[in-house]
Amino acid sequence: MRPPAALTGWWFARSLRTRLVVGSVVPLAAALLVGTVAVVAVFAAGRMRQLDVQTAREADVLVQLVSSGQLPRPLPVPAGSTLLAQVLDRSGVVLAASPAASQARPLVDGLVGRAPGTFTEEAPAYGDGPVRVRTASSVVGGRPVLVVVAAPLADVRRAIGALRVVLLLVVPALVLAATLLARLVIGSSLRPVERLREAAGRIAASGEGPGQLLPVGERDDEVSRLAGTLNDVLGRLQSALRQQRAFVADAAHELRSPLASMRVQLDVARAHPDLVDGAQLVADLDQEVDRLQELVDDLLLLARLDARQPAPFRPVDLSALAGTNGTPVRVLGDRAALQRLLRNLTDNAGRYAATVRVAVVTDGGAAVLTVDDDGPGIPSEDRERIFDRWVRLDPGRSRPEGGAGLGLTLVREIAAAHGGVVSATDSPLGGARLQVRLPRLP
Amino acid sequence: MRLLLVDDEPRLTAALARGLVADGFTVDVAADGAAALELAESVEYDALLLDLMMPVLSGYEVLRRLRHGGDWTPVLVLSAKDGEYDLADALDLGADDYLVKPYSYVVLLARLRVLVRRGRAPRPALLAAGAVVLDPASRTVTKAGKPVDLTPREFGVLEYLMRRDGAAVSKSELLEHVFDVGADGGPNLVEVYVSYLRRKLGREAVVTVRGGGYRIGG
Repeated sequence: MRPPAALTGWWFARSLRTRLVVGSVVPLAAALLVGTVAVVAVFAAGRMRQLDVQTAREADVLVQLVSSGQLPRPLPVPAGSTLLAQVLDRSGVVLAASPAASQARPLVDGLVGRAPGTFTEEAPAYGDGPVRVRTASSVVGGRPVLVVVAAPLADVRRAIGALRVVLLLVVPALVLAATLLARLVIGSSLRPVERLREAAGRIAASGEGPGQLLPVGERDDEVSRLAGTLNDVLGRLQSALRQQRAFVADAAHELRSPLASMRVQLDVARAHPDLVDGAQLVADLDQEVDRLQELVDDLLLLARLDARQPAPFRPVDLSALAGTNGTPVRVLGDRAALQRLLRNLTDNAGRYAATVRVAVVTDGGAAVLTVDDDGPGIPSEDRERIFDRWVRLDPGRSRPEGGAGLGLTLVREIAAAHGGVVSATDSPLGGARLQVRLPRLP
Repeated sequence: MRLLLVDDEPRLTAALARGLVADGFTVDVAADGAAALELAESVEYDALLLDLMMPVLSGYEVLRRLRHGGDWTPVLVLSAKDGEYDLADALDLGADDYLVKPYSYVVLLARLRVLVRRGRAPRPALLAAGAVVLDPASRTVTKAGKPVDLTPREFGVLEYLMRRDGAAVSKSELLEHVFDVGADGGPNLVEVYVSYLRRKLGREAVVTVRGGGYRIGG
């Protein structure tokens, strides 16, 4: 059965602290209540059994006494007990009675004729409070008689009542104490969470300060571990943001250079129209536009690869793509992107070397595309770095022939999008060997 | 007027040189920092147009070496870098002006005229007198290489005296240039700060000139 929506709504609108306190105290209170009821019940049953045992023993003693022909007046009862006893004849006349019982009137009316040997609770004919009655039949002088033993219940009732009152006072006090303690403990446990929230709020409000982190408590508990984990996430986000910023700044710089060149060419042409060589101007501006276009294409492709939105993959024959005319080596991929990867690799090699050799082979489940050149090679310390964005290895190489430094980054990103890797090593030709390994189609 | 244009964008330098020549300048072109330094050492240019991001030697390095070698050719930096610290660094290294690419040719010409007007007078980024060196950019003072801690007002008095390069400066002139209008104390205030400076930099750092003024010592 689902609780009504209004109730769950109210419940989850409470603070976590309230819910934790209520959630921990209510079961405790319920347990105490059930315990109390059980204790009272067990106590009452125990006292009753005790009483019944006494009553039955007294009845046995009296039956033995009576059947042995004695009928002492008064009937004996154990010293200090509150038991009452009578012996009645068939017409209900009292033949003998214990000292506290009436010698003339039966303790309880209507007992004669009932089946003997049972315990029953009766209202007495006189005196106060209910009694527990045990009857037994016997014979005196050939005449059947009824032995009646009664135990007043007032004492037991009083004791049970007193226990009930005590427990009714103690349970609420315990619940109250538990509530206060729970509020205190839960409140102090939740305080680091609140501090965490405040710190996170400050970070959110201040935008992204460099290296702003959450306070990690000294205790090694769940909250401080949470803070540690969040700090890891925060640190990674901040560094990603920094990289992103640096990338955008670099991109702006790279875009500005051809723009600046175009601007100067147009400004000078405007200032000195007589100097303008139309064909030359068109050719120059054309090259700048090409540069801009290539840069924008690269940036868009990078953004697309970053966002993991490649074109739908189809089987592509790498051998045919590379023009090596060997046995077909097929991979699953985006044909245009793979073409771009190949072109960037060969362009890059061609910038540094006279001879460029492209080979496509298989190696187990991998298709391996290798581009060798006889250029100066790549120093081993730079072999990871060359795939980073905007890295131009040779500062002596001026921009027009050096490219913007995105070519090999695109190679790496395209390879990664196809589940492959790219690496740089030495080439047997004496220069650099760039190798792309992609998962192969069988 | 002879200019040195330093940039690794051949089409940009070609167009800019064409324009500048048409506007009456004589223009040499260098495609990297090393070539620029070589040319600047052999030819006395009236101004340098300097890109920052260049192969071989960056524009920053060219600036540093020029100024370190005592070459006070006015330098106008032309760069696509537009960060505030990019600008501040270049200017503190001794550049005279900074234009962010892409710039207007008209504005470039105007700025160039200003630079040529100012000429090649030494405009050191660091002021030195004897063993005392003052860096206005970082607002630090060293004596024989050891940093000296000065209050802003002491720094102001010292900088003003150093800028006058050994010329006598009257107390009222110092009062006018370093202290707020309405600063209490009059000429006595100047004497107090000069005594602080002498205590920190040595008696000989500030020389008293007869007739009620001071000049920088060393």
